[in-house]
Amino acid sequence: MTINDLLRQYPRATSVFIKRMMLCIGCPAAEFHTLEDAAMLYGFPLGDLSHEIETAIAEGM
Amino acid sequence: MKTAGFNESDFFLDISTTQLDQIIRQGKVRELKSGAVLFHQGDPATQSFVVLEGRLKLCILHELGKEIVVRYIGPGELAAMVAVLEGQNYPASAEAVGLTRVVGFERRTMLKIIADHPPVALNMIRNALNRLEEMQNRYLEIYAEQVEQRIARSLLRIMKQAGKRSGDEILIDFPITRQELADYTGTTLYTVSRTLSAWQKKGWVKSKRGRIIIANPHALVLFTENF
Repeated sequence: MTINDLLRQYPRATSVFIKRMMLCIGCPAAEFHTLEDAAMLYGFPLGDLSHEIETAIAEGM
Repeated sequence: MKTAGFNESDFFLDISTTQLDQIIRQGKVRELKSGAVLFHQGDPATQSFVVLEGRLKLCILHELGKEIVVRYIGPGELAAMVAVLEGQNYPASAEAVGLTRVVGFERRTMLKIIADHPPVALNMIRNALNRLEEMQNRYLEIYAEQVEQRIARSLLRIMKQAGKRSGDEILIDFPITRQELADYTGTTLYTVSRTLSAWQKKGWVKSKRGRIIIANPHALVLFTENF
């Protein structure tokens, strides 16, 4: 799943990218990169990032 | 009078020590503690200052409330020369960096000094020209930076539209010449070639059989965003 797919499907996840100062929102590479790529590029542990995103999504449910 | 450390933009170049004493005596010497503000941006410019010891930091407050350091004024250099001669407001604020000694001259004193000591006028022109050249260089730097950012944005736009992921990289899977990229960006072939070569060395892009590969889209995005 690319970042764009994720954001399209779960708009709530956007807040996590904003909080973490990640430029993925609207990024030309978001169509190609996965959350794993983004975690690696920004040096965040993938587990932390996906947990935070899951929480944000759950809060919106 | 301690005058060591003066440089080529010196206000006092070609002025003898005796003349220098005479000039300084016409002004008002002030000693500033580190961080003390000598004058505020927007206040009427009543005095020009020559730094004798230490350093002044000239800052401009941006509309957005951001402080921009314009320049540092060291020993032998003059601050607020034009503003005082033209009867304007101080265009920037000046703050002492470390213990700083300055001598301040009012407009009419400045005019008298220029009349009495012609080399001073020449030094002021030299000083103004140095700053102009500095600004011109800075402008060219910023302009070049903008062109490179535009090239990066063009590449990213093309990548977004036509890119294909291959491993860690994104391939723009149709032939695009450097001339086409230059035309698309509104710059010259030379600039595109120079920029792409530099990015190849950094590992941001690659080219293979007329195809451009974006090897590090993240780096290009950060570059366009000034990160």
